[in-house]
Amino acid sequence: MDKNSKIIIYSSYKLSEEEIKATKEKFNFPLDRQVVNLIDKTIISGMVIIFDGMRIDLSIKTMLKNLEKKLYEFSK
Amino acid sequence: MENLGIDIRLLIAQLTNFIIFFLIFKKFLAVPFSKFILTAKQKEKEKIEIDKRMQELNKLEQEIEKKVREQMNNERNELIRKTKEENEKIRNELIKKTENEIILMKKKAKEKLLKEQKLQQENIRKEVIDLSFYLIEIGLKEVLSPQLQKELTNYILKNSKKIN
Repeated sequence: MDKNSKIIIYSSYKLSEEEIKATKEKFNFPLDRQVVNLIDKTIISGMVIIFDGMRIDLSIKTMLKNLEKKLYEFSK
Repeated sequence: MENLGIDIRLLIAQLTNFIIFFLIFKKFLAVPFSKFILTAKQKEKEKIEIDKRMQELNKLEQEIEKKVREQMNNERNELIRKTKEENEKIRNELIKKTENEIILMKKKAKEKLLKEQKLQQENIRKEVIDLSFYLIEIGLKEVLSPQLQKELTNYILKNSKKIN
């Protein structure tokens, strides 16, 4: 793990310090690691985390897309 | 004899004349004439024989012609019968082939129609789903206030699986 790598979090609004801390704790990220919070309104709500080559997608947009795919498969 | 008015010498002379005439007649006239008659009779007989043979030949020819005609008629009738049978067979085969082709075409058309219907249904379903999710997306963007977004984000974070 690269000690200088940043945690990039996409969210629909600017996250508070508490929310960033809760996110780090939830996913066992190093607490001293710098976080870059980018605003992306297209994800509707939730967040997308990119850290150390890993992508954690917790956005409502992706959830809707997954649900849509399941509906396609179910309706065939 | 003389009293009866018969002259012996004359009688002898007449007899001699008669004999001479008879011999001459027999030698030069009777035999060729007889031969001529016999030849004519023979020719007549031969002619009758030839006519008879000709008649027989004609009869035979007629019989042969009749037989040949009958045989030809039989062969012609047989040929006609065979041709009819062959035609009927070909006709039946064609009808059967055409019927099979029609059935196959109907089947293919039905399959194509069903496939198209299925494709159309899938397209409609896809469009409905796309439209529904588009509307949900727009609705959520409109409805979710900053506070609701915050609450929803925290809810998602809280309920997501923890990574070790």
